[in-house]
Amino acid sequence: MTGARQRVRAWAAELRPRTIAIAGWLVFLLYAYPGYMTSDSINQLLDSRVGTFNDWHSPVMTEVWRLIGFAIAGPFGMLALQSLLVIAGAHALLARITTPRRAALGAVGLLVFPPVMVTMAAIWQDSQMAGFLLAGLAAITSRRRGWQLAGLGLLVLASAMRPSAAFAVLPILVLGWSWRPAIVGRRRIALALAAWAAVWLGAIGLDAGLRDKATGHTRLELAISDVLGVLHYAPAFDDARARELLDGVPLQGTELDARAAAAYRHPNTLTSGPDRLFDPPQDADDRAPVIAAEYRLALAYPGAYLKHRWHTWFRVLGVHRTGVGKPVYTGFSGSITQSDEAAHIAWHSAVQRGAIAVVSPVAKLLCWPYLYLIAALVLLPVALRRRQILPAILLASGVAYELSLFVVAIGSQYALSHWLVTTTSFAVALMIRDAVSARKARAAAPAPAAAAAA
Amino acid sequence: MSWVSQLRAAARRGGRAVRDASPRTILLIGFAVFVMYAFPGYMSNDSCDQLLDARGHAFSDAHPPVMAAEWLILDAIIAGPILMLLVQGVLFLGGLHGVLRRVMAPRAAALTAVLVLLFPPVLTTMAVIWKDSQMAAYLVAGAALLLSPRRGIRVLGLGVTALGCAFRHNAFAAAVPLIGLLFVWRPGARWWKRYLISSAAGLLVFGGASGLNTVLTVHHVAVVDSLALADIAGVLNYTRDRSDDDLREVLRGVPISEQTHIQAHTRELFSPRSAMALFYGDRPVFALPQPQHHEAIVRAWRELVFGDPRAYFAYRGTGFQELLGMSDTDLWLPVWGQFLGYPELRTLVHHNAALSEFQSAALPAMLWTAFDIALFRPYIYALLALLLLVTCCRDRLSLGLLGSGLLYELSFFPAANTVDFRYSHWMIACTCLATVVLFGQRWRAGRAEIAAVAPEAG
Repeated sequence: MTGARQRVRAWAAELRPRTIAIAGWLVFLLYAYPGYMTSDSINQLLDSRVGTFNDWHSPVMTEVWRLIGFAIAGPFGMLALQSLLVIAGAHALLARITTPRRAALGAVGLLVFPPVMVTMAAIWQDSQMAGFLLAGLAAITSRRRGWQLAGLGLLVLASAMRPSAAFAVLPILVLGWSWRPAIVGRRRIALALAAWAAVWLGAIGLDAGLRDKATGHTRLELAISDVLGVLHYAPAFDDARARELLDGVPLQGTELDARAAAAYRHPNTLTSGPDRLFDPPQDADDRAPVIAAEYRLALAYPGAYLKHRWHTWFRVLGVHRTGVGKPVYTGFSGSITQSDEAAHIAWHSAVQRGAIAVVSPVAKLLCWPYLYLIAALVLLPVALRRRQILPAILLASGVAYELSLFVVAIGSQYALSHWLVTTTSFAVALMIRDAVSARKARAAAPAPAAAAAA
Repeated sequence: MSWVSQLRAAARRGGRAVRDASPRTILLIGFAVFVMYAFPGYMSNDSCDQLLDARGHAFSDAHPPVMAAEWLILDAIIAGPILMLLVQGVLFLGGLHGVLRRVMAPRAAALTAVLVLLFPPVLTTMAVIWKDSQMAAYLVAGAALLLSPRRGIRVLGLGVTALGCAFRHNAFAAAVPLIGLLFVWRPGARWWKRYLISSAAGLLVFGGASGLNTVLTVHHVAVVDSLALADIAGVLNYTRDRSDDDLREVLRGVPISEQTHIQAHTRELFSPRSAMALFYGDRPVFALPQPQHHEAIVRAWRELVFGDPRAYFAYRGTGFQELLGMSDTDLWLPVWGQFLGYPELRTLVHHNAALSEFQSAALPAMLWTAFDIALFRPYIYALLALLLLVTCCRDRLSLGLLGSGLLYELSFFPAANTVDFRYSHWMIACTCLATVVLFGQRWRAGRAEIAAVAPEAG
């Protein structure tokens, strides 16, 4: 028995890093193939096929999908892209501080860590963003200029995936990037801030350039959510005050405040149904008053606005019981109609069903974003004090992105916190490794007295 | 350094990288192109039937049960056709490379293997999940293993060849030359000993393949009876005019649908290209045969075929000409580019896919090579194989390959119910492979001669 164990160990010890990475990726594919998709994902796949670039989803992601669709139709190309970016990025970062074998093991471990894997298995903007961010971080911290430039490009793509992704990029550039080793201090930071601005503007420009139809959908959704939130948490006021605050919005009926507050739990009823407060805005002229009302309400009742945002963020973090409900999504399409429209139908294999059965309970246990936020907030000062740069960058990036959700989150999907979960998991692993290495080094070093005697 | 010179240097580096690409890189790139063309694996009605057989654990011998069993295992790992595609692609490309490696330098072998795989008449069938592609993959891999200097690997090659044989009823015709000429138990043995052993190995392979299918079969389907009924219809078409009374007597117990105008009805529906119309449609000639019809069918077949062998050979000859593409009519499905046999199957097999832009562009190109030029016509490859066999085939490897392809093609003379292009796939693949093997051997011999002469001249 011992002999067999030793042989297995010897065999495992001889595995090459590339073999480990490929094997790990294949394990991931056993869980995720050909890539899980929700209604949003299918809509984006259809957009990529017909070449429609609207702002309901990231136009850059649609374009990436279109380009990948040239070679491989369906979700698999995107799944391969995002997962390989994570493996490549994590491996490149780890290979600088440990042996290639351990780097491969670490990269694979990050990808198949259930709280990370459950989101990486789906074709979402969050998973794409995480892939590009991690690969971008690895590239811009490289010593080679070409890789640094490629890294900036990857960060532009990452920033274009989600409106607030630029907040995740900021710590990466400020803490991790230097144009030249000779440039240090404030000049380095100023240059990093300029690069960050360029990355952000580049992402906005790329999205705007690709977009062929601006619907303002996301912005309007946020505005409606905030309007409802403020009306819900602000003290009651009469219809005249409501009409004043919502000036320009074509309001219908009376008892506006009470009806708006009631619609808080079900925002769809605000613009649909017989008791709707106003008709859904059709164009930019219709949207403008709603967005203006959002600002007006937030300024008039800042306490109510903050309370509303706080409650939304609570759900995002999973603190609130109605928050993160089902972190594990394993559907291949939103509906049968969508499957037919996209000509994509898939089926869970026996192994896949087994993998889901194993991953789901683990994910339920570990998929609580607030735990990762607390860990990140505790560990970030430690990492900074100990000058553990990579963990510090990861933690800061995750926290910055999660904080940005305070302002921009509308729903409370677990995937929104994916970057925080990924970075914190990665950083914790790195810090544990550093701690173990330091302890081993201390144990190996002779005691001061013994050294002095020697 | 300016940007222009940097770009030039990068281009030079790129060119050098292409020139210095390792055999593995070449194989990987070639395989990636194959996967791009075929992803996630094209499927026809037959493929979907087999997938359903696999999922329902109901292995019938209408298709090879071993393929359903293989799919059952692979489908449990990743559902759908993708793993079947990867298995057949990897085995075929690996086998080609293994064979070519014996006669060429590593990089040339890798490049040639990729070119053979991507050669349109080979590629279009390999991209579909069919028993023909699986058989070809296992047989090529088996041939490569049979060439190994290690006996254990050669015996493994026999096992892989046996699996290949299990994928088609007539695959043994393809395996006989390969095993007979390539399998060596002990190098240096006398010729009669060697061929005695390889004959025994061939019998073992045949027994193993048949046994495996028999053990796996759950539902027995009268495939042979359908073939016999097609022969009966063929003979009725080409034989002299016969009365209904006469035919009713001959065909007693045979499941014929109509009792009057039997020969006229048969002639109306008969086609040397396909026997399907005889069994399916509004007014079929025959109902689908059941086990109780077997004896009557065999008796009628004997009476008709042995009673007028000329009519039988005329029918089979015409069908074989069609199979070889020797008529003006189009080839039978030389390019298949669908993911389901018909759309309704999507809910049964829980699978559907769309074509990528690459596939959408590649398929019309393949169709052009199939229909607008003679590249897919099997008779060209049959003639080339015969020509090579007669003129320059002097070694066991190329002889085995050419013999395998030709013998397998000939086995369709009595055994084809339709004239699908995929039936000729193995002969085309073997001819292409044997051609490059012969070319590689000549090239090597020529270079060796030059190398030997050069010092003398110096």
